[in-house]
Amino acid sequence: MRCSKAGKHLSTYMDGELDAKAAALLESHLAQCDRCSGELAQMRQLQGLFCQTPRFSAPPAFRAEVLEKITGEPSKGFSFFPVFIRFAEAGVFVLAITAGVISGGMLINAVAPHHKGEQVIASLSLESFEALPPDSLGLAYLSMTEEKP
Amino acid sequence: MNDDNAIERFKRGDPSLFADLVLKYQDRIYNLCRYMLENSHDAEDAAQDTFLKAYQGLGSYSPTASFYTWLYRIAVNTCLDHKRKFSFRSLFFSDERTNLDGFPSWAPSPESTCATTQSMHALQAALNLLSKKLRVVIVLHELEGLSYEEIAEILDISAGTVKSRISRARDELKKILHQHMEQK
Repeated sequence: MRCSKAGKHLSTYMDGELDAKAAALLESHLAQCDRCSGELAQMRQLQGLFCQTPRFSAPPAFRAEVLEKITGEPSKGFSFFPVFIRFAEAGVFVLAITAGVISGGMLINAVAPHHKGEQVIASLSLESFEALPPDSLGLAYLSMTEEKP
Repeated sequence: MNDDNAIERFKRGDPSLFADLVLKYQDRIYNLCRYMLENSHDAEDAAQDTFLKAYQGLGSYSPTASFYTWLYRIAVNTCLDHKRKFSFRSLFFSDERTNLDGFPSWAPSPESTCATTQSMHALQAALNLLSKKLRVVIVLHELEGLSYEEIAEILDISAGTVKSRISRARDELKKILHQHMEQK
């Protein structure tokens, strides 16, 4: 057996998992090869380190915590509460949008009470550019912020 | 009572037997998670998740494999998921795992000599540097004492693949430890 092949078998041989025939060939090689014998010795040393590693135990309250998590799992029965929460969330969202639209409309009416429908239609014409169309929030903002003489 | 009997009774409506199974395997599963995940907090989380998943899956468990190999499989997959989920930490924190000179904060204080202590810490740090595939086989074999066949069953790979990975893991560990000694 050559070193290249022996090297591949060392790990399995050390674990006692090499078949008898291959093990015999390997042992014959090891008897004559210092290099491979040295590698096997290093491998045994490494295994020796593993034998000295500490074994960790689960913390004292581990089992109680596991059982608590198991018994504290939510019931598999249908509950209306989550569905109710979802509908409530959607309702609040719709209310907020509606309130915004209504208050925006009221603000514009308060600031520009004399708007006429014709002015709005004219401002939408593609032939002319109206920087501040009537009934727009921009006009309403400027009306609020411009200093009165 | 053996595991299969306990599970049969559990399925027939005696959930208290699960507590006995937890007691029986908690140390082994925790030890595995500790060496896979490097710190006690993550190990505890993963070990608890393992038993939760086992509890949820017991209804469909069939004894074609032994219970403990089935449990180990859940534990290994849970640890691998845990590592994947939290790997973003390495983007923000310095990777202490690559420093063989530093003592990992989770390492216990052995009562052995100083030289052995350093070797132990070096081994633990070297384990952290292995890829997941190599680490899991070497931990299952060397630290949990499982055979090639048992490991093959847990990981759903062939015994030949287990042999090859254990051999590669040992070669890698030797190289890492050798480089560490040379740097010293």
